Amino acid sequence: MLRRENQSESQTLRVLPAPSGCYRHPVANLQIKGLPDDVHDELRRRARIEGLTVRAYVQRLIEADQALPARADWFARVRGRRPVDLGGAVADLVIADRAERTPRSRRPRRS
Amino acid sequence: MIVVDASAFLELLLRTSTGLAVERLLAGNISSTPHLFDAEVLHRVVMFGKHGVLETQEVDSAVIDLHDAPIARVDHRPLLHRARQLSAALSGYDALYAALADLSGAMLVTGDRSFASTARSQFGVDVADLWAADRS
Repeated sequence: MLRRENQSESQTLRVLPAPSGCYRHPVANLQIKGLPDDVHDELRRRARIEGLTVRAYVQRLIEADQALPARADWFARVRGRRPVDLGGAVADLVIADRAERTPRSRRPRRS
Repeated sequence: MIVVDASAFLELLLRTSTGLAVERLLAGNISSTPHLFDAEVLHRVVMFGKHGVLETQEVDSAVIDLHDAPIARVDHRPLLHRARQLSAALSGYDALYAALADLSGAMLVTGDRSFASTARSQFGVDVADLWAADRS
């Protein structure tokens, strides 16, 4: 452990051992074989537009995908919802909601 | 590829017979919708809570299901010019959904029969028939 001058105990810098074993940690590698040329070209183009390497771009796609539940999990969750019978189409209510966004007093009048 | 509007998604959340047809389409297709969708579904779900149609906990879970729905949200700006053309016979709201379906070559999925009919007959938009089971 190292301690700078005027540094409190809580600010003590902890020097970790050299990462001699870091390459022993499992690091997942992903290889996609047989990717069609047009898909690969578009992938490279999109990564370039974003200023990213293909690897970083693909990693971002995967992270975005995993930020949401798996599709199957989402559908299973929705299937567990209680059925509700409104006695009519929800669309009528959505249309009414849109109309309510403009109070009668503020709707334009024809002269 | 499909474009899902708020009425169709709400039918799915309420587990109606129309909603089950929406679910089948959503499960088998890549889906997208304009950002408007979130505002419309959120507002209607909140109103269901205020009117006692849904319990508080059901409103909360519906908002989570809305957030997590496997439907890509699309910015309105690229849709505006086409939506303006479609607004000749549609509301500005519906025109955004129809414009996205039209521009992306996707099938429109709506729970609004009138919207479905107009989009199909006047603008040639491919529209899912959610009511086939009702007729058989």
